This record gives sequence, structure tokens and C-alpha cells, in this order.
Amino acid sequence: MRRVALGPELGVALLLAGCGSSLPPLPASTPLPEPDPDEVERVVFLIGDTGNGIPAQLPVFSALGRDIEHWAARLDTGAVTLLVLGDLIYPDGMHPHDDPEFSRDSIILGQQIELVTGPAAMAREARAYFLAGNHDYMQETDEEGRLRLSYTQTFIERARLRDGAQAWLLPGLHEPGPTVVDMGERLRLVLLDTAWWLLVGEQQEKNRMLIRLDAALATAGDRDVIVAAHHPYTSAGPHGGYVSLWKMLGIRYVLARSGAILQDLNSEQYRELRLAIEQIFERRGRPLLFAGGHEHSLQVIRHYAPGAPRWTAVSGSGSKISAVGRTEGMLFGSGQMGYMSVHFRRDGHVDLFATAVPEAYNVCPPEPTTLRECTAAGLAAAEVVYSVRLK
Amino acid sequence: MSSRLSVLTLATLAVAPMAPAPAHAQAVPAVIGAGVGLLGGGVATISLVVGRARWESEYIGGVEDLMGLNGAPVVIGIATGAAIGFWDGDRLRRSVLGGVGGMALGIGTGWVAGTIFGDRRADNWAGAVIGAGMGLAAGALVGALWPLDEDPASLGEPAAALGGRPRGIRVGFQVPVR
Repeated sequence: MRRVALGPELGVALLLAGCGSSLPPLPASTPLPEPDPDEVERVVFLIGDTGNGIPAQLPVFSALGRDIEHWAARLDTGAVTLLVLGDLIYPDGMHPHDDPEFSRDSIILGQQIELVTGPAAMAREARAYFLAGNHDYMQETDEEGRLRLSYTQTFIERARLRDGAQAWLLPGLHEPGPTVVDMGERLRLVLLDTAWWLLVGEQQEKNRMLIRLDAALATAGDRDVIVAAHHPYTSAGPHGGYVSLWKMLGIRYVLARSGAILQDLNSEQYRELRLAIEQIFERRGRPLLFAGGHEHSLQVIRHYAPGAPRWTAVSGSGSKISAVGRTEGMLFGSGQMGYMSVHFRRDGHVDLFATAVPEAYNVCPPEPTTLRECTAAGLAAAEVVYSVRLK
Repeated sequence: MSSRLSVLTLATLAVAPMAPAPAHAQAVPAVIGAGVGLLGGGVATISLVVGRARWESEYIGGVEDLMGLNGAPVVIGIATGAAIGFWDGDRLRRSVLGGVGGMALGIGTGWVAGTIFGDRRADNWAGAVIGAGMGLAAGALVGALWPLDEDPASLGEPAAALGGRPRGIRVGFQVPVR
């Protein structure tokens, strides 16, 4: 029989709910020095939830594009990778070709693909892997959701074939993954479609996915493993249950705590996935990093439990922002628009940097002159807001 | 959902008095009843949504999904509360007291049940929320239907002497006892 007690997380949640903005402080950190390209072998950029606006109006994209160009120009061919962690087009994924919304959708996705079509990125074959999020399935469990994702996949494939953009939707449609991408001798990317798990997957397919995940980790050898998905391993944002009690009269709070919202991390489906992957991690070894979006914030969380990844990175503030609370092991949390980059150094260390733009430059007005000025100012104001050595 | 709607509609009809009401001095209790019904219906809606997620794996995508059919208890609650308040302020008071008491009992019982029988952390919350809705509905229904204390002297008074309106409605039914 289980003891009737308020868990520590509930206590923290109630504390946060009651106190509003007075969050407990995060541990102090010492910023890492700006990485020297000569000492860096490979860079993986992480950005998620990118589909909520025209990228050209979001200085965070300009900053990311600049960084991709910077690193592509200085590293070897194929050493720069961009992971776009789902929710590529809000709110309902990509519409069909004959839909009036298609032109807007194509601009949003097209400009995301353009992140890897700059001169240096093209010359050095910088790659972009796009993962599906729940909005890319239109939040639907039926065929319509899969159709929307198929339009997304077709669009990305056309951009690759037509323009030479090194962009893929991974895992592809009807392939929940994990897709394994080995990058040299040091890094293995394991890409999961967690939106498929929550919305579409049937039990037998889910079991096969877990078997493949087990194999992906078992055969990783000495490589560092980054597991990437739309949904994060854990979170101190609204989907992790950290919702203000006073917001929406407490309705969102109660629903979140009760596990009634499918896309929250305490829904039964997600907990089932998390439990299964924890068993695999415990058996096959803990991945270095579990990268996810879904939450519209930047978070870095360190784990010590045997079934947990060593680190969780939440990088889902590519075009939207939301509040961040606190959770166990949390080292950094910010509700700013931004992205992260993971730098694999030649000396074996792995560093993570979070870059954000100030709130004033979240979205720029569309008028050309103002847009140019705003984007330039936002670009100049973008800065590294957190850094940590992962390994 | 349609079966639940039917049950809720029947419950509404069951507690709504059928007698004619006085035209004056009933507006305020009716408005209060509508407000109370809104709150009660909101609790019932959340309870139903959580119950469906827990037992039928029918999750919602977000708070916006509380609109539409999921929000039917709110409409029913407003209508029922306004009707009871309009026709019988005393029954409204009893219904509110019964609902609040039932909800408190339901929250406690549901939390304990969810903690004991559940296998995940959200189950205690789910139990409390489901219990709140069930307790509220049961308590409000009992409160509304509970026989009113009546002045024995007035029982035999003809309705005509009261201006053509009854003071209360007595619903009688037989229960076989062995």
C-alpha cells in the first residue's frame, strides 16, 4: 500500500503556484570561454518549435543562421548539424498544395530550411534534420495528421532535390524511428518521433520502436549519444506540470496535475514511453544528452538516476516562449527565444551553449526598413546566456 | 459523451421544479443559482475530462478542448442553478451546501483512492478531481431533492389561499422493505 503524502514535486509546484515569480534560485555557474574553432571538431545546433511565425521576422533565426555560417566556415565538411526539434509549422502542420494556407506554410518551413543554405553551410554540407512535433501531425490521431506530415516531408525532399539543401525529415513518415545517424567516430544521433508515439502509434509498432532504440544504444560503442525528439525527457515548463495556479482560474493547473492533457509529460502515454526508455538506458548505458523541444523555453537539467540520460536539454523557444519553473537537477531555465549548440571538442570535452535574444527582439515588424533595423539590432543583442560542460 | 449528456439532462429535469413561480423577488436567487451552476458545471466538466482521460484514454490537447461537448455540464449547471434559484431559493441553498459538502468528501476520498489504487503520480490528482465532480453532483442532487421542513399547519392549506402557488413540491415513492 502506498503512503498518502504530498510528493516533493507537488510541494514545489504548489510553492511556485503560490509565490508567482519568486522561484528558488538556480545554482551559480561559471560561463565557459567562447570556443576556439581550432579546438572544436563538430557542432550540433538545437532549436525547436520553430513554426509560429515567419522566420525572417524572428531575429533568433538570423542569429542561428549566422552561427551556422560561422561554424560551417571554420570546421570540416559535414561537421555542422542542425536539429529542428519539431512543431515546424503551427498550428496544424503543412496544408495541402491547393489550400490557401499552403503559401504561408511553405514560407515558414522554407525559411527554416534556408538555415543550412548559406554559402558556407552549402560548401561544407551542413545538415538539417527536422523532427516531427505534435502540431506537424495537426494534433490528430487519424489519417489527416499523417497526411499533414507527408506534405511536410515532400516539401523538405523537394528543397533537397531542387536546391541542394541538406535537409531531411527524420524519422520519416511511417517510420517512428529511431533513426540512427553516426557522425564520425565520436557521436551518434538517435532521432525519435515522440509525437507519433503519443498520437498515432499502435502497441506492436511501439514495441518494435523500443527494440530498435535498444539496438541503437547497444551498438553505439564509445560514441557519445544524443537522443533527440520533439518531447523532452523532463521539463520544468507547463507541459511538465509547472503551471501557475492562478492562470486560467486554476483549470490548466488541475488538468496538468491530473494527467488529462495528452501532450503533457505526465499523460499515461508519455509516462509509458519514458518508463520504457529508462529501462533501455539503464540496460544499455545512459546517453549523454536527451534533447527535446515542446516547451517554449530553454532548459538544462542534469540527471544522476541510472535510467535517466546524463543531461536533458530543452530547446523549444524557436518562435514561442513560455514560463519556466524549477525541477530537480535544473541548472538553467529561461523563457527567452533562443537555441542551443553542443560543441564536441577535439580534446574529448563536450560543451553546451544556450543563445537567446532579448524579449524586445522576439518578433520584428514586417515593413522592410523596420524589419532590417530590428533584425540587425536583434542580431547584435543575441548572446550566450548559459554554458556548461556536459562531458 | 452522448450517454453522459443524457444522464445530465435527466438530472437537470429531475431537480427542476415544475410548479409556477412568483414573478417577483426571484431574479436574485436565479442569478445566484446560475453563477453557482456555472462553477459546479465547470467542476463537473473538468471531472468528466479527467475521468475520460483516466479510463478511456481520451485525452484533450489543451484547455481550449473544454469547449464544445466537453463543456455541456457548464450549460446544464447554469440552467439548473438558475431554475432552482428561480423557483425555490431554499432548495438552492440546500443544493449548494450539499454540493460543497459532497465535493469536499469526493476530493478527499478520490485523493486517497487514487493514491492507494493508482500507479502513477497523477492518479491522486485524477482521483481527487473525479471525486470532486461525483461528490458535487451527488451532493447537489441530494440537497435539491431533500424534503423541505414544512409548517404542519400549512400543509392542509389550499393553494388558492396562498395566491395560487404551492409552497413546496412533495415527491412520493414507495420502497419495498422485506
